[in-house]
Amino acid sequence: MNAWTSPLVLAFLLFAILGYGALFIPSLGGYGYAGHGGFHRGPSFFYWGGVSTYHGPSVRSGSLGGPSFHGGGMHGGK
Amino acid sequence: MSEATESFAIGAGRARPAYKPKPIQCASCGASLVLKDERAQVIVCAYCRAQIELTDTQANAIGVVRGNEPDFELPIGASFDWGNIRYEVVGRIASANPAEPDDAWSHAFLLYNPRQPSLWLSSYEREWWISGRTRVMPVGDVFAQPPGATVTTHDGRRWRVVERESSQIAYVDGALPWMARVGDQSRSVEMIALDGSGETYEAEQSARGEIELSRGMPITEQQVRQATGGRLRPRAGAAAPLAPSEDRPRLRAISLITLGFGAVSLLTGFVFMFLGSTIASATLPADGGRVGPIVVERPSTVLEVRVHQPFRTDGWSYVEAEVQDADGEFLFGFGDELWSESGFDDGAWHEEKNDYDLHVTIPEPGTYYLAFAVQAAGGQYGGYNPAVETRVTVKKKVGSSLPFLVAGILALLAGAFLFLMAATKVRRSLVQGSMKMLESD
Repeated sequence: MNAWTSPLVLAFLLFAILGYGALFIPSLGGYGYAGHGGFHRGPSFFYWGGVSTYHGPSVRSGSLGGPSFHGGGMHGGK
Repeated sequence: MSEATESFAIGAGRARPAYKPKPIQCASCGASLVLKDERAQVIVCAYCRAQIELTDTQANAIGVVRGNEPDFELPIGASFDWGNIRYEVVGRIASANPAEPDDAWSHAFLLYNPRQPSLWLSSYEREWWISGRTRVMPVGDVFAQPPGATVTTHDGRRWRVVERESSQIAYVDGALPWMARVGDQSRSVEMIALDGSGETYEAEQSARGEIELSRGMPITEQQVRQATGGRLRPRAGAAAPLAPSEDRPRLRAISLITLGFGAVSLLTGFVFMFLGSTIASATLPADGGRVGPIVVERPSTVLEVRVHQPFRTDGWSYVEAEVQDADGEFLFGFGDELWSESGFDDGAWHEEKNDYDLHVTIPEPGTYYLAFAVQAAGGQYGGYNPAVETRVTVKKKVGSSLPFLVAGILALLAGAFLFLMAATKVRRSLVQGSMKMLESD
């Protein structure tokens, strides 16, 4: 029997095609990057090596000076 | 042995006269043995394990088979029903691959019927093959062909070389149609039919230079079990098969599909990574500035922000940015350091990191801005920023490349593993028994 015509292989081929198509859903949804699911969320584990991201307006929001809209980042809140 | 009997059998179109079992006496211990196959050239005494060479006129002990009996799946004398013909196991060989001593041994069982050409049943782990001698020669030197090469036989059939290897006899018992001794080495080439029939064709060359050819086919353990009436013994410590023999081609097909899926996913990921259109760009002064408006029309739009500082001389700066909404309110921030250094050690050197990029997903449509602030280093750099400008480019991407890249890499790894599973440890056992269809003449 030709292996390529066996039901198991054909089912797997169909599964692979559907799986490939399904990858477009998270891809077009911007999965994995900072901002996916809201600006409060950072990038996923798979997006390594990227730059630092800051999701609060201040890295020193607990300071006496309080948060500042302009100042998110390494010197935010100063 | 009788040459007249052999000549009678070849192409005669008549039933081959049955050979009557002949009693012989062990030349070593004197035990009574029964010789069932007139083509046998050697027999191992079942009592003292002396190896006895048989000639037309006498039986000479030529040595003793040492070592423990391997875990043969079938005993001498076991019946094997194949094609409505009852065969009997009259000889057994266990062989090892000297290049891979840790590998399992191949077992070969000589199947004898007094009216039929003998067959060889071979096993490697829990894979099985059955084969018989053929006189159809290959065109050219088959032993010079590498795996993957195509070989044509004189009957016009085409075969693909799947493996070349050497083997060494590790144990032998029963009666065999050629002088097989422990330690004998041979090399072989295993081929599979290109017509998809699954048929195998093998050439084996002994240390003495004799070449034997055989054709065979893989069979399932279930078929072997049926042929032996369920009296198949498992190998000691035999692991469960990775897949039954008939599943090997399917496993290979599945592995190729997985590899294809991985390759296509990876390619799509790279396309998504590099494809995009510039929707905003600006050259900002050294201390930063604002880029925008950036209009996002659909939810979950992926943007790539690329930041570049052309350093004029050595220095360091930290370039950070805020993503702001239309009212200028902070949404989130990002930043990274850029630097340029040079010096002179063994020679002049220069290193720099003068750009970075970030992918960001904008969840909601709207108008956005990027507000940049640039700081220069203090300390040894004296607080100056040698970069006089910051260039920012914002590209709108088709989507995230991450799902495709992750799935592609995982699928390629899985596909390679499955492919190796399907490609290795196959047909090894054919090397031994199935090739040696030497008849006594």
